[in-house]
Amino acid sequence: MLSTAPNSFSQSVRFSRLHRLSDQLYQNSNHFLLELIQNADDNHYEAEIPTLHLSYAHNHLRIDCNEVGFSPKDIDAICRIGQSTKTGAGASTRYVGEKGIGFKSVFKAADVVWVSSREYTFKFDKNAQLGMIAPILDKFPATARPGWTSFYMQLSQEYNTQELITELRALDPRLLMFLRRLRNIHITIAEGDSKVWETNLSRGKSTFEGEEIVQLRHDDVSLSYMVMQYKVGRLPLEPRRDAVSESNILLAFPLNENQEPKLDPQHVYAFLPIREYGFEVRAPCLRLLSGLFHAK
Amino acid sequence: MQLPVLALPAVHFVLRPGRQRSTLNASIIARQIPYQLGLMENSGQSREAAQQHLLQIRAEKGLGDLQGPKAIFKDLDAALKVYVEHRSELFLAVSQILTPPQAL
Repeated sequence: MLSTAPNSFSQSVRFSRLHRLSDQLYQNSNHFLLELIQNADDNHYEAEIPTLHLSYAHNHLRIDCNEVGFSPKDIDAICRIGQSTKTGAGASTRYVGEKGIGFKSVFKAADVVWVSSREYTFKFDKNAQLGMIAPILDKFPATARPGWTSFYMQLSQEYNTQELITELRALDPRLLMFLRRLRNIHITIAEGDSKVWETNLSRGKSTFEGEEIVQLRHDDVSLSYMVMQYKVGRLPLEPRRDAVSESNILLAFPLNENQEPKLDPQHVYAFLPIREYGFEVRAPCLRLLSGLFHAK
Repeated sequence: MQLPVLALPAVHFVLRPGRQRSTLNASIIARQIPYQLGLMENSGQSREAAQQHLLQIRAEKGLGDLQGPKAIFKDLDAALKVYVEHRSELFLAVSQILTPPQAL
């Protein structure tokens, strides 16, 4: 006889573990923004310009992405811990995320998160039993965007929304530099009755003297980077990434408006920016730089 | 008659000749049908199938109403409705599952 009766002890243990997980996952309570951007980059797109919208208004943050939408397997994964659909052989070259826990970081900032994707509409409520992994059927509380995946976050009372607003305003187009799919991030902030603030970050590609140039735009301001790639194979075994044996190292050299190298401190990235370590790398000229990477 | 549902692992398991139906099997069918339907249709999944899938996830976590034998049949009934609405040939196959093996 199959029993599906709940085991209240194990549930309460899981419940407390989940809270601990979301609290300890990242020290910075705004790190979930990077997680959402990372997830957006791991999504699959049929749209010509993969786009993410971040909209803050009245203690709520809305996230819209024009990805293809959640499959049943994606739903299973988001309702579990540590069972990402992004692991396995070749995953390192296709996905940024891998742990299956990143999305849970939204509960560092939000009590309730509604999800709308394809035919799925439901919510996670942190304060409900197993609320971070047990979906609750519910209507999306705002106007859904057909063909988009949307999240609607009800931010916690104790959460510092001003910090979030500051973080949203400070988002830099350079965070798009090493992402693989996401091309555009649009941000809107509505505070009180004042005018809505908005900005647009985007990434494009061009070539210069046969080399790939990444062009980043922040509204009307453009930044150019020459990106060189080096593939590393036979990586030492890492137990937490047992299917990963190779990776790509990319260096991006900033260029001025004349496509000449310029000297600026640069961040170190693991797809998304980690921090500034004070690297100031400059090649004498693009032709030499190209030669250095292409000569093997 | 070729029934596309025979390709579904859970259903195939139950249709194996001589296999007796049991509560466990009924539970497997009930839990697999909406999920399998979702996988089959994938991009064009119905809202009902999506809701069933979410309820199934809750039930697997020991939450919701889908507990015990009564719930199994309630679950199966809901799954059947999804079938009826979306794939009449699948409904036919499920009808055969519900028929005792010796009567087939």
